[in-house]
Amino acid sequence: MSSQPYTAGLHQSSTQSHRQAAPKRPLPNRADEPPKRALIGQNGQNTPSGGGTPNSTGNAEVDVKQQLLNYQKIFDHASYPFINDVSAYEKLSKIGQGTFGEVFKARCKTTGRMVALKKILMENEKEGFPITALREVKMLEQLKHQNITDLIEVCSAKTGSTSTSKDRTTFYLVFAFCEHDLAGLLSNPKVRMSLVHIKTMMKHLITGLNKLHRSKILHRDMKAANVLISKEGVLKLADFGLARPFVQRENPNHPRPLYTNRVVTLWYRPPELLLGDRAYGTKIDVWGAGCIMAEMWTRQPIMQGDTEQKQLTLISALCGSINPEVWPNCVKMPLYSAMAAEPNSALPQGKGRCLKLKIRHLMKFDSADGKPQSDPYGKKTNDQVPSDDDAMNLLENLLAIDPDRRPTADEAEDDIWFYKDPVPRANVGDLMDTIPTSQFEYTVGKGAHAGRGRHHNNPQRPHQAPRQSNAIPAGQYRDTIF
Amino acid sequence: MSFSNKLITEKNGSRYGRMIHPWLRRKQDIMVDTPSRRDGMSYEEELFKRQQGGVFIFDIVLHLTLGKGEHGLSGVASTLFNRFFNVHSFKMCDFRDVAAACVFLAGKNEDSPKKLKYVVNHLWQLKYPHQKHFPSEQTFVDQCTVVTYLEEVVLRSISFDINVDLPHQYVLKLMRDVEKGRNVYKEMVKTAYYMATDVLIITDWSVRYTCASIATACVNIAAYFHNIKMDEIVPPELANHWFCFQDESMTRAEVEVMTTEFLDIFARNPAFHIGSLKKIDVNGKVKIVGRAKTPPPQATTSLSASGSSSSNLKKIDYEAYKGRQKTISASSGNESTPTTSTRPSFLPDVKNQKVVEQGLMEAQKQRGHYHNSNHSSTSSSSNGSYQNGYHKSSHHSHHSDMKRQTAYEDPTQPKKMRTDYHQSFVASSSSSSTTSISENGRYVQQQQQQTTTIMTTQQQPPSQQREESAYARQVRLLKAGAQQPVPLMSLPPPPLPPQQLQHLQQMQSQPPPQQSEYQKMCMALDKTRNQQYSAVNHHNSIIPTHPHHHLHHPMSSTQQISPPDESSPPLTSMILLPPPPPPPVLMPRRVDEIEDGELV
Repeated sequence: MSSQPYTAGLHQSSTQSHRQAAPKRPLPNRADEPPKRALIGQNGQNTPSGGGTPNSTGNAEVDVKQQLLNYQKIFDHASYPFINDVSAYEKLSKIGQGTFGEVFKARCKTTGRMVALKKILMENEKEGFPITALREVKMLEQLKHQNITDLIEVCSAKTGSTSTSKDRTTFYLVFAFCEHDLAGLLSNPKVRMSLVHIKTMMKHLITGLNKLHRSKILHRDMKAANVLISKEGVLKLADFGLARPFVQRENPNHPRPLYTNRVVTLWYRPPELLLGDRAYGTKIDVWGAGCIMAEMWTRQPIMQGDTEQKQLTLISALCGSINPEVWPNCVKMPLYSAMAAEPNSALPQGKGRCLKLKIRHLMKFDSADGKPQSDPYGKKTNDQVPSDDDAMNLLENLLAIDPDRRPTADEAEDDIWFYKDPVPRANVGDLMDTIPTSQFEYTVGKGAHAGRGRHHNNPQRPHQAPRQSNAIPAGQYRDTIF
Repeated sequence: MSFSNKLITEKNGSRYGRMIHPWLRRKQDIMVDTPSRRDGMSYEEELFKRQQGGVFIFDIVLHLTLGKGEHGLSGVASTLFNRFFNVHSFKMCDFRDVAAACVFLAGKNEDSPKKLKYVVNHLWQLKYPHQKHFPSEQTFVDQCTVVTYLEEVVLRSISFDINVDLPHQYVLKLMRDVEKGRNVYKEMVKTAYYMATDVLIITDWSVRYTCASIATACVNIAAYFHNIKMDEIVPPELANHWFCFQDESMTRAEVEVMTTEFLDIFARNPAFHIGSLKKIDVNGKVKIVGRAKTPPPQATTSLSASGSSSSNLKKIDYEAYKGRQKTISASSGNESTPTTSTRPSFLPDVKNQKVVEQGLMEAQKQRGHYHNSNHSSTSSSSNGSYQNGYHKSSHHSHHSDMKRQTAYEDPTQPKKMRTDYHQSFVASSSSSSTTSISENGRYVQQQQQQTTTIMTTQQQPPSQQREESAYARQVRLLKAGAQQPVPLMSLPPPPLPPQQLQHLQQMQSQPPPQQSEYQKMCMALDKTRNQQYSAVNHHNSIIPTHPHHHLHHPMSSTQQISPPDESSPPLTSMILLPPPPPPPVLMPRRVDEIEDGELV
């Protein structure tokens, strides 16, 4: 061993602290190595023996392997003073499955605090630690806000150092636990929300979104399932697995950086993304906020397309046709001309905007006796109670086809609706008190968006693929959900 | 972009960005207790390793970015590196592997991710310069596993405290306050801005001072080099607190201590003159220890003649300064000829073989026949020097490289390159163990002479040489037994007798091998993909007699490889980091790894 070159650093330590022979730990399973590396192997046969080094190929190979074993031996047992082990938390139950891992409910063993543990899956990562998870940690570290989910710390767990399969560290993000998510809440017909509850939650949502955008971050996955509500009735934006920092375009002549358009769950995806825009900005999240707002009354996602084309058709049907009249820049969208030219176009023309027609009758003020008039099934309408036109206006704006006409989160936060009676409260704690058990989309429906809304028996429901495809590791694309 | 650079003053009352964990320690604490200290390593040894690691990071980044360098990337990577070794001992691992893992992690952190295979390739080539390629696929895979494993270890060690603050923006902020729109100290601001990265690399300040303090020190050092006194230029309202800008704990004395410490490092370690530091000393104010015999190549400009302006500075040792002037002028004749020689754009000569592999062969093609004619006139004896120069490429600006390289190629100046060895310690140690000896010995010896103050240093080069070898012998005796021929920089190997040195040089001068199968495959694939490469391939195939040409004379388009400090963003912009360069096209990309849909 000591005759091997290049491991001087290791030798010193191994003689000091690890005198016993290295335990023959199996190497991490590398069967999933991409085949491209086979190229390297062929290269090896031509390795120059020249250059003056006496040691040649075989030696170095053993060397690197030995080095790896040495590192594992040393660092697996090294102390990490700044990071907690996940054993500090007691896992209680599985409450969801995010983009890059499972989510568990857990209790801190020392403080008794309830937390959510989000496991970062790394099994299939070719490029080391997933950059999406790194981004999420980084952004959440900076985003400390009442309406954004609170990252407490990152924990590590050494997955069975004796197990044969994976010999890698698992990391958990530890979040403050929130009792409910909005999707689960809305799908529960027993939850009766009055206008002030809706308004408060929308205020929180928009405030959180504004904080996000002011911090130059795009959420890119706004949907009801990613909106959590704590026991205290405070709404929090969650799941930054797709979020990314963006660059504000100061000079309009300067081209915007391009991002991937394969983001946002299909039902909440704005028309510009569906038309292939890659220079999008904060307005994509505003559209999502609009969808969520409408969902507060309809109690189910308003546009449930199963393909991009279907989604566009649904948008056209609800918000009116997409054409240069309502959206001058739509011709600049990469897919617009191709799609509009198609015979059976996903962009049907001549459709009027019927959003108001369909939703206005649901947006009722609370009746005089304080009974909430919003109906969980959105069927019955009480014609005696007037509709809330300010809410309707805000929704109209949030769901504008033209992204430039949508308000920014900042503008939406100051919308007149939030200053009219009933004014939003600090929280919706009173509503939360009426709900005894946790409402999670995952636990409530046991499946993606399953059992939500009134279409229980509708065979046209979007297929149930999302759960499986949600289990795909980070770095892959979420739009396989659809 | 690096929104991580934002100063956040909430939580923990921390002033240094969101720094969750107490990374900053005072020097006296570091001297007493660190993990490395517990393993019996002295502060000087540890600092030297930190510096070496920083320079190694700098090199990897330089290679990853095709010679451009990336301020944010190397700054963040070296900060992570230093944090890591606040938690772990240097004796636990080879710091070069950790450095690579830090670069890999910092790339993701800075949103300009570097592909694992490139990081690993460059790590390998810098670590085992004699063995250009991985001996087997398994080695490559193992090396990849080492880097990813260490990445996880780094993340665990630093506990995801990855929002790294950089001093650059503070430099600009401070100078904006100081200048008040006068815009007269532009050069100085530039110097301070660019050196901020290099300071993070060659000092351990990233775990000792806040970024605001580092920025203050950078400004002060830049002022020193530009013969400016900060106290004289700051506006009256800042007079007594410009140095505690954004960090109330700073004092004037502390800034002076930092300045002195930096100049000390700067003077002692010519090998650490990376990036902007090569050209920082335009007025020749610091006498470089160990360089007395060889005039520093960057001091060749006539700028040093304007010494009169510096005479009013009390810190300057006039004697030393005069002596230096002499050497410069003596050498200027030597140097000027090659500089003005017929090869003004020959910088790429010194670039690495990788660059060729990376498919940047167009420019080589353009100059192909020029190389041919020039090289054939070069005797085989110059090959050795040639290779040495090639290894140094990463440490010196292309400007000076250009000069020196031409000198190397001139067979009539074989001595020159010998003396130049001393200037690139890391490079030489990684290129051949023989060249590193003297430097190693010297360094440790210099570390013992802690009492020297640089600015007034007047070392006698010959005596120093003697001491040094004596010390090296001492070290050898001390380490006898456990000694092995490792090119690990930390262990000063015994000096070799001169014959052996020559022998090794001869071995080095052996022409590098033919184009490997793999490279051919790459090119064949590239050819099918990219029409522009086909011509290059053709060109390569018709000069099989000069394969080393191909390996060591990569492309040279000045737009693509420019000195790191000049390719950086304009100073006026608040954007810190230059946009990431186009990814190197080392390997033909398979369809399934095309970045088209990569999550961005």
